[in-house]
Amino acid sequence: MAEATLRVFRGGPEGGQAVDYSVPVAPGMVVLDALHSIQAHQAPDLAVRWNCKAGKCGSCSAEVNGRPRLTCKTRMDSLPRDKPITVNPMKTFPIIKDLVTDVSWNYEVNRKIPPFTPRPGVEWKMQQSDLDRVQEFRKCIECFLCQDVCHVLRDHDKKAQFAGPRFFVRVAGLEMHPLDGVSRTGLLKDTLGLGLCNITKCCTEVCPEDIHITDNAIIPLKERVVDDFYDPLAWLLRKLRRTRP
Amino acid sequence: MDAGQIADAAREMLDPFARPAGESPYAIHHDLQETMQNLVGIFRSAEDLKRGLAEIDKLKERHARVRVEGSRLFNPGWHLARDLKSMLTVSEAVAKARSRGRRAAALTSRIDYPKLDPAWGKSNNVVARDGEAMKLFQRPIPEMPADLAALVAQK
Repeated sequence: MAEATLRVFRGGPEGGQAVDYSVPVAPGMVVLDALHSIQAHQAPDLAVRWNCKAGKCGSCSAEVNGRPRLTCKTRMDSLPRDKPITVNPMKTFPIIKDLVTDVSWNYEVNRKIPPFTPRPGVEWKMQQSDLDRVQEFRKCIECFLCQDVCHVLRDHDKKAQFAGPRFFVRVAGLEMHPLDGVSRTGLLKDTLGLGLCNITKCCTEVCPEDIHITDNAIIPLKERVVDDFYDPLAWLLRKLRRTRP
Repeated sequence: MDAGQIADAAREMLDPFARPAGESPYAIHHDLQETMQNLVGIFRSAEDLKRGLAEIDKLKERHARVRVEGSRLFNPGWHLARDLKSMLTVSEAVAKARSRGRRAAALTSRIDYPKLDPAWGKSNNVVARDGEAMKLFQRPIPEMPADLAALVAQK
């Protein structure tokens, strides 16, 4: 049987090293299968977070050959076999052990977002065409690959000022909901740091659910923030009427 | 629950780390899957099930000698060693129940009982704890309420 070499990060918060494992490759095998094979035959304590192995739970995120990927959706036959396949934990989050990272910061950010709040007395009747756009955002499986690849978080570590693509997707799903009555543009501008995104579209590129994060969530949200806070005419009218956006 | 029970449970959890030699939990898991697939699977016979139960007994002995490497932090091998205890229990219960059940309305496929036996459609196999052993008995399925039965009878 054909063999592949996986170069897997082994270690913890204090550091670690890449360890090479030779794995027999079966037809249809994905990188997560290869990691399970390593667990079963070579390193039973190799830490990998996974659940469904069907690309729906968002647990098995890692960086395969430098690209943020779900390891369960990365086929071995899609990777060049002439050099070792590197598998590293997501760089943006603190390492717990081996390929497992602490993603709890995301859940803290999530709590800052006001949940779906229907307008008082609204009629619970919606057109499918109005829902189509929010349904795209509901596909998110919270794999946090977009958060991992985003340079604002990954390279500049702006976790205190910036919520990241995943949460702009969540806010977009709420803001664009036909029955929702809460404005989150102030939150986007001041707390979630939407302005720090400079639309490099890396998040869209790595999304395993093919959500058009930049085009359909982030840019429309930026437009809403601009409308509410930076439109000079609206600003003047608000001054005259003494209202807030 | 007294302190002794807690200490016993803690020891049971940590024993696999302390063993100087022993088997990987993954090897036992693999063999359990093979056993259940081949001998307690969809198509099965009394002979297969008897052998299956004997294999599960052997696997339980092997599980008593399971060894785990590494630390207690996020250690999948250790988790599997613990999960195996429940897997072996469930496997034994399934094999026991299947060795008693005949063929009821396409629910099971005992190849040594090719004909349907309507009597087995009227009771469930129940596995309960009996000291350290498993007790198997049949419990009749409750009669269908009259209004439901009337609905089912309607064409």
